[in-house]
Amino acid sequence: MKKILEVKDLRVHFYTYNGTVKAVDGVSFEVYEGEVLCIVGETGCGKSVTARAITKMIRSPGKIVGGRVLFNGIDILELDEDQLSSIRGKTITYVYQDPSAALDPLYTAGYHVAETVTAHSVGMRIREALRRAVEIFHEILIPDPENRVKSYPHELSGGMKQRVVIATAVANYPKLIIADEPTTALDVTIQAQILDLLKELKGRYGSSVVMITHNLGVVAEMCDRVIVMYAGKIVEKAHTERLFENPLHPYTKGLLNAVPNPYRKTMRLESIPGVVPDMINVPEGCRFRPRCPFATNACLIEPELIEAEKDHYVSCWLTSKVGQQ
Amino acid sequence: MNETILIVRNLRKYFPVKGIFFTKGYIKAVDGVTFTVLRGSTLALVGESGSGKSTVGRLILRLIEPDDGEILFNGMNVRKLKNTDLLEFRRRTAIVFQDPYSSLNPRMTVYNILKEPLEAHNIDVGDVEEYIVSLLERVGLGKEHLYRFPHEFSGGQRQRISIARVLALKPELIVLDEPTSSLDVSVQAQILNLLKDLQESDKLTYLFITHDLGVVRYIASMVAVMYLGKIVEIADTDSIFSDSRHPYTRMLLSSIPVPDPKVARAREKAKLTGEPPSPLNPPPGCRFHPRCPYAMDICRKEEPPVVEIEKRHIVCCHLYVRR
Repeated sequence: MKKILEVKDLRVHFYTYNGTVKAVDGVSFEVYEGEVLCIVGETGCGKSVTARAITKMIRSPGKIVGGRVLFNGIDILELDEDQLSSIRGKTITYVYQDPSAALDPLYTAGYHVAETVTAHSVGMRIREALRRAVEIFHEILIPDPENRVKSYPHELSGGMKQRVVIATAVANYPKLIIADEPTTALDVTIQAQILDLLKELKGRYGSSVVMITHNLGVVAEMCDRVIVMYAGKIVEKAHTERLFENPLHPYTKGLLNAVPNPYRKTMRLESIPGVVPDMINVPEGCRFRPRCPFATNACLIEPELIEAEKDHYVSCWLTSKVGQQ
Repeated sequence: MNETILIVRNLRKYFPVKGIFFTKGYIKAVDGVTFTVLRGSTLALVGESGSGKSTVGRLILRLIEPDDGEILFNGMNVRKLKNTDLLEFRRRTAIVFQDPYSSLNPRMTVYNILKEPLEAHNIDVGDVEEYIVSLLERVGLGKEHLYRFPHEFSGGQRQRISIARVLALKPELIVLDEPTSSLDVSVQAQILNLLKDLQESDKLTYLFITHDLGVVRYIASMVAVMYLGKIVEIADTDSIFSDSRHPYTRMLLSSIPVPDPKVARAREKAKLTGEPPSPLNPPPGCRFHPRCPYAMDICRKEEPPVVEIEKRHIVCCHLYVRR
């Protein structure tokens, strides 16, 4: 399969009064054509910052201090604002968590889509673009598309708003859709509909999807490959089935055991003791060490991400020792 | 064990929607809800946003006044309570809210937060500080946290403080309104385990309001599924998950993402359509009929009756009416 995106050693720091927050600290991954890649992790692990850094959308006090983002061979981080504008919203698009914040209350639903279309095609009139908006609304199963394009955001329900946001995201046949917690603000029945929709659109438009989530259920449902992040670093990377079958990193194991499974009676949930570390004073060595039940002295040195089995990467001394023996 | 602590009958609350000159209509937030809760058990109220589950929680504690219906707490008619009786009722019941960021006063130290309920109810616990430390220890915090302010704590720790505040008065019934929805999974597991332990040691009764069916499976003994202000199904937790009858319950179950790729991809999914209609003008007849794959003519006209499928398993659906 063809790689369409390659992120190499990405580092994003935030310079605050209390000190430097290393939100993303050396993250590398790749996205293949037509796949769904999930980034999971808890609050503050750097998953959203990673997603935004892909198109250089980091505002002060944040700064991308290192790394490369190769998209079809071009390093996005080297591009100027004009060149970036021609990529954002066209080849790489975003779907955010809160659809009410993503839509401008003063414009109609159709206008949002039409604007994205006209912005990236020279000479197209807004009237034409609105017709295209109706088409897209039809495709993403918004009922009564001819009238819905004229609705303002406040006239739509949360699920519908998210559909409109998705419509703007797919309007220009993107190569990559980055969905940052697209269903967190929605009810479960609507969430299931939106996930189905994303899966279907991905097939129809041939796009790849990078999905950011904290919900392991969504991962299991949607994704081909998973990246688990913890405190600004990737701790494990694998195919979805493999990760759920054979999690190697103690954090991944803990996370999987902490989710109450509706399809199984659990007597006692295994929780991970402690809390996510303060990102200004990150623990020395392995960042999960203070919460890890298997921590040893070796963990004072930072482990690297190594391939434990085919296509299954983990950064933990436990696994690398097993590998050496 | 089989002693009932709370009986709710036909509870109703309509919120008026005000126009400029007169009331435009009513949001039927809770429209005839009936259930009982056994002492020491956990009843989970599940439903989507706007189903009225939080309103039910508040009505029971009389944080908002019901329009109609009956609430019996240990045999007392809650709606008729006044003065000291009401105060006593408030001591024996409690609520934990979803957002620990807004439910703790940012200008009070943990010590003051935990002392306030004791003062409000004039309760003598001897050494106040010692008592408060013992409360903190029960929820997994310690003496060193006594004089800190809420902003110094993480979300999970704040929720622990909320729980400690509730425990201060040794309540019998606690309404938990989405207590873990704003927390990360690893912290959620800690809080759920804490709640389970406290329930066992103190014989607490929980009314657990949530939309997360995984959490329900873990913590609840009975489940009531709500849709647009009505309960559509009540049953033991195991029967809800293995033998659910109402089409809405089934739809809800099939739409939860399962944290197991094999199950997630193999299982058959009920086709999901539509969104919950507005509670301002709920559809006539069965409120679920516009989304229901089995809708019949009768569902559009008549409200479904309450059908007892088996002992402790109640469903409101025309499909199960014997004719």
